[in-house]
Formats: sequence, C-alpha cells, structure tokens
Amino acid sequence: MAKGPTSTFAAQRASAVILIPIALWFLWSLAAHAGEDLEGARNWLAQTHNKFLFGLFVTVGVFHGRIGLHEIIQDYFYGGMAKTLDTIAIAAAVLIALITWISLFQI
Amino acid sequence: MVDTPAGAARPTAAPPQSPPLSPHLQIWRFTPTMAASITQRATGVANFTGTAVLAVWAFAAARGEAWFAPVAGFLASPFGQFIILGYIWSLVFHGLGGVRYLYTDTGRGLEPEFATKAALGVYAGSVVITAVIAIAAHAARGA
Repeated sequence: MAKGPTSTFAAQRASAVILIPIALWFLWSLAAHAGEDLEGARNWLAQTHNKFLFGLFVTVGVFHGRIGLHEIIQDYFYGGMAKTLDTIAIAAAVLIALITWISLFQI
Repeated sequence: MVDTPAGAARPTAAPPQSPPLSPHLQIWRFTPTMAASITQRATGVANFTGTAVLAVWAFAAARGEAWFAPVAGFLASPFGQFIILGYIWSLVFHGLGGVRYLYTDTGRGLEPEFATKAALGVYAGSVVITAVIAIAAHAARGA
C-alpha cells in the first residue's frame, strides 16, 4: 500500500493505466450480455477469463477509488472526521472486493 | 505559507499541522477545465458505488434465482436502466478524463486554449461513446 504522497500519486496513475483496458473489456461485455438471465450470467462468469477480469476490474477499481476518496476527504475534512471517513472508505473497498471474489469462486 | 487572496480565507481555523482544505467551489470563475475536474471527482465516486453494485450482482448470481431475480428485475426496470446508463457514462467520462490527466502529467497540453478544448472534448466524447454503447447493447438483445 502506498505510504507517502509520491507513492500514492504513482499508485493512482498505475492503477488508472491498468483499469483502461479492463474497463474497455467490461463495457464491451456489458453491451454484449446486458439483460441475460441467471443461467446466462453464470455461464459468462464461469469462463475463466471473464471471472478473472471481472474480479480484477472490481479489485483494481476499489483500490484506485480508495485513493481518490482519500484525496477528496483530505480536501474537505480535518482530523478525526477525515480518519473516520478514510476508515469507512477502506472497509467498503475491502468488503466489495471480498464479496466479489468469494461470489466468483462459488460459480 | 502562501498569501490567500481576499475572500478565500479558510472557512474554519485549521488545527496545527493540517494540510489546507479546498477553497469553496463558488469562489472560482466557471471554466470548462474546472467543471471537468469536479465531474472527474463526481464520476469517480459514482464508479466506486457502481463497483458495489457489481459485487451485489455477482453475489446474487452465486446465491441463485431467489437473489438474482430481484436484482436483475431492478436493473431491468426503468430506474435500473437509468442507473446502468449513468454508470456507463460515468465510467467513460472518468476514463477519457483520466487519459487527459495522464497526458497533462507529462507537462504537455497545459495551454489554456488547448486545455479548454480537451475538457469540452471529454464531455462530448463521453456522451457519444455512451450512446454508441447503449445502441450496441440494445442491438445485441435483438431489439
């Protein structure tokens, strides 16, 4: 995890670059498969590359998002409130990634 | 400490050792670049929320029909479709805006005239690409 401002900046940019191709895959998949029923959704997620890319999109997404949320929190809040909001953001990011991976491996 | 212009004083006294807070949005003159900057943050928050929806969707798909039916039903409703369309636009805007920032990170594209055009281009591009994706999704469902 990034420690200082410089490594945070680098982590934000690196995760952004990783997300570009995965987001393109996600949008393409959404256009191709939107509205499918449970069987369609499961068949799609059962394919290894879809499972892996979906999990990666969510995981790198919340990692990148947590950096951005921290940046916004730092701009508008001081001290204890900023710490509380940061903790909520981290907890949400971890929870979202965990629920996604556990669910993906149950399919 | 940099001198703050009149009217841009801190809203509240800062505890010692705290970084400065952002000045309030309304003291700035409106420009497309500042609008794109605010929208970049807003879409970032929306994308984070959208990721939570993806987790719920995957969870429902893993649990079975009892969970999946209400989630899929909501997403198929007019409000759900509106959320999906907004999420697509939010992702596209944030992605295009992100590419703009990666470019300005290199020290290029900072001239006001170009920066303004690039910011407006991100808005226009995001709307066009979102429309293309929506039409493609509609066509893929055989409508």
